[in-house]
Amino acid sequence: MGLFSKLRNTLGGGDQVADDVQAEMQFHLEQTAADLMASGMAPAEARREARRRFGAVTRLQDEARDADMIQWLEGWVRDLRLAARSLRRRPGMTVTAVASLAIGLGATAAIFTIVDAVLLKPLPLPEPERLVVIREFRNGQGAGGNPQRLKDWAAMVPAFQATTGFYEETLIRRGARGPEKVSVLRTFGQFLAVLGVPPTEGRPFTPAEETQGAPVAVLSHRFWSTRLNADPAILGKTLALNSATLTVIGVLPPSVQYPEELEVITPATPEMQKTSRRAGFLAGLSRLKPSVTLAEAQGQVNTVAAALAAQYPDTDKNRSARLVPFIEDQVEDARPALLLLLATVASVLLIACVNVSGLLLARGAERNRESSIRVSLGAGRGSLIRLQLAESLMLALMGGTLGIALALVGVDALKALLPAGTLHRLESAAVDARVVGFMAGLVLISALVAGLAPALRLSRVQLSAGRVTKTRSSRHLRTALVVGQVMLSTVLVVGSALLARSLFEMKAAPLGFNPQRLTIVEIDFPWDTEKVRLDQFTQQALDAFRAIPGVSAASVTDRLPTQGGSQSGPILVAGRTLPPELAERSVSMRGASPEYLATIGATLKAGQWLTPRAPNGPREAIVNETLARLYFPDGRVLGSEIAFQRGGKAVPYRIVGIMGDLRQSLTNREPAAEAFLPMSDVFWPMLRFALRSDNSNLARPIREVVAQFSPDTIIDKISTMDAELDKAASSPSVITYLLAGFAAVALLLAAIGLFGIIAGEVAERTKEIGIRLALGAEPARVQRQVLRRGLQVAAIGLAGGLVAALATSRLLESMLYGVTSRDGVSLAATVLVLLVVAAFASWIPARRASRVDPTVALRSE
Amino acid sequence: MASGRADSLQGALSLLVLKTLALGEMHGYAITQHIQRASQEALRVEEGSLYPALHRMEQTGWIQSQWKLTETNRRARFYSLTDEGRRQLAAEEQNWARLTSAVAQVLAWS
Repeated sequence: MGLFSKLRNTLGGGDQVADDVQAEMQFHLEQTAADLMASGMAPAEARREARRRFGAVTRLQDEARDADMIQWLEGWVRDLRLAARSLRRRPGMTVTAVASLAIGLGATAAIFTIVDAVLLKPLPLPEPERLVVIREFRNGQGAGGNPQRLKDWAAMVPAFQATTGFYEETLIRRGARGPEKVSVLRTFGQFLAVLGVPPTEGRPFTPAEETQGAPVAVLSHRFWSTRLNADPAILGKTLALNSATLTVIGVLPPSVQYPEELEVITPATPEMQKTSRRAGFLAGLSRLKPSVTLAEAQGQVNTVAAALAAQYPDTDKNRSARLVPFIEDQVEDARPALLLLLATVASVLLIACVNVSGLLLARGAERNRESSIRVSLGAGRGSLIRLQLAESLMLALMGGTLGIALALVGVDALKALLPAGTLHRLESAAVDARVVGFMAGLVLISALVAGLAPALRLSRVQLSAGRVTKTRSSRHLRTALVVGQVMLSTVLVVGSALLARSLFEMKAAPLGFNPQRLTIVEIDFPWDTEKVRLDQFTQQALDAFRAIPGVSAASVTDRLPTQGGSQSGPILVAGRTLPPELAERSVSMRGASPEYLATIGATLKAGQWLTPRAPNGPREAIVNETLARLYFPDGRVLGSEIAFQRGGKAVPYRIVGIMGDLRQSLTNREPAAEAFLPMSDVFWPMLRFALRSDNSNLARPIREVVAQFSPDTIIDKISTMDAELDKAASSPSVITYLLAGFAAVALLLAAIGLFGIIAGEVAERTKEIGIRLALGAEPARVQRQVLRRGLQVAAIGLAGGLVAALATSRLLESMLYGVTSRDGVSLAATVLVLLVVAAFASWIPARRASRVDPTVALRSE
Repeated sequence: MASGRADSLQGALSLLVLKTLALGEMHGYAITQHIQRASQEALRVEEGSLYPALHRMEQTGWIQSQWKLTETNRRARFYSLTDEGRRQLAAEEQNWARLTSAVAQVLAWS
């Protein structure tokens, strides 16, 4: 009876079935009694006799009540017990199968835990799906948001319930333990209304406070509890940050920690509220009205953007905005790598399941005999399949339990391995009820996948014969499974070979400077620091650093190489109109002290380095090769003038030198056009000092000298360039190592699978091999034959895998550096690795085959 | 086989039931009665075997059942052959013939 009718019997009243059986039995009893009475028996005795003859009535009812769900479940329990007993009899197979599944399930659970925490779990904000990030573009390039435009959107886009823009800055608070940095969020519009979370203590900002930029603050729960010792009387107290004094009016609940480092929220100052439409520095966030779709809202934004472009042609032309769901915006960078890892572990799990399938099939002969006996004893085919599935379920349950343990360890290891701060919400990842639930589902699926092939085979058991020979189809099925395993692991090996090559390329690509013996010091001043103060501090610091014994050179810049860009914008070339694609292209504008480029070991290609600028002297700049190539196709670079737009005014610079490109980013290969100006011409309060020194342990002397001339200054970081490069490369490295590790596990499992069928074939053919050896066949030849068979199977899987890899590796493209997804070296390496592993896996049984003792072999059977 | 049990013969019970039902629709009790009579009391079908067998055969699709009134106006479950059951009967009859003739030949060997 099918599961469906079982369910119907249970749900629609299993009593119906029991009643039917009851009635049929009753009828039978009464007929028997009636006949007995007819032959002259007394009624009472006849009934007793009838019941006696009907001795097995209860058993009968049991049998018929197989239709009952409870009975069905009891059957499962019985089968699980049987399965457990049968597994205990084969500890070798059981351990192999459980270990395979535990690795597959554990790895999948661990990665799922991370994926769930980072990508899937809803944010702890009310109706987070209604939050959208407003991404602005100008001429198709990303641009910052503007307070005035955000205000217009808030008023003109009907789909927006509340809209805000904000920027973060670091201010200094003079606390009891000396100065400390505080991360402050300056908001425009209705920040708290967009989050949808009112403060738990105190009150939210009033509309007047928000629009006028009142000096009031709402604190994050973390800041209040850790930095202010959870002061119960905090409301109404003031917080002195730099030159500002803010009155605390509220504390947020602990669940709200967005942005992650959020400590203090305050409306942007009145001057900032009046910023011109030209500037762009805000992150925009909006809460949609309930039941408004993203597409509707986007349509309205497009309409409003067009209206604003018509109204403010100077500033709002060629601007567009795209609404992105908040959660997507948060996880965009992490998504490809995480999904790649998830797909990888899922493949490992699939290979593990297939391995277990192979192991179960390998005992086909034995199982067939047992099954035939069961069938002739009256077992239905369904119950045979059920028993087989019970066995794989048992294996999957054990594997899953172990897997959870592995996942517990694995998640902690992953959290330690993955570089801090790169994955949003990574900290919250933990094996919880969701993960266990996911695991339970996975166990069921694995049991089905692993048990499917053996169960299907069972359904074809020959009933008539008590003894069943191992059929050809069984071997074909197992071979097909191994081919599939080899295919999948080929795909994984290709993937990790590509990533490894890419990592190598990334590390091998020229940096454009010499990171060795370079110590870096990072000091962030608040945005409202005056330029004079910055310049004064810079000069004092450089002098003090140069005086430290062992320091041969000290210099300053606005952003170190490989750490991204700082300020950028389009440039003009004197005496020439640039083609449109260059006129709108952004050029990185960097500031540096004159000796900076020489200190970090950049290469001068032509002209000269920057020199200290004399008061009212000419403005000079150095450009990199990319800029020279793009903007000066005629090669007349030196002496030409370029101009930067600053404050609506073009400021011209004469090019005095061409330098080799510096890597702006480790992971992005795109060369950026860059120009270096004297640091004194650039306003950028995040100072980056680069010191050349044989002594890498300069942290103490650096802190001491800074404390001497500027005791209030907080040094954000002292490190070496080498260490920073390692850190920048750690994210792709970890992903590469993880993928390579999983690919290795997959390969190992596939090798076990291959070994399994080849060894099985050798065992089956022992007699034949024995005869051949007895007739004078060379052992080496026998060995070669077995080896060839193993390599054949592997080669089919390998070929299929390469095709599949070529089809899928394009998905990796965005994560590759310096190699294409069709990289020949990676493919060749994969073929080599696969063949070596396959050769080893079949060599063991091949050697055994060549050592068959003819006399023993012929005597067997 | 003076007083054998039909169900002690592997596979024989279903053959007997199919053959019996080939005569027409019948309830379980009637089936036991018929087998008993037809074998001249040599074969007796245990109820504990008959009903599970009927149940299984119905699931397999060889027979079907229906609740009806008997001549004495009692409700009873009547079983009848399906087309598949008829085919199965033919196959089993052939098998049986082969088996018995084979056994006979073995016994005749002397």
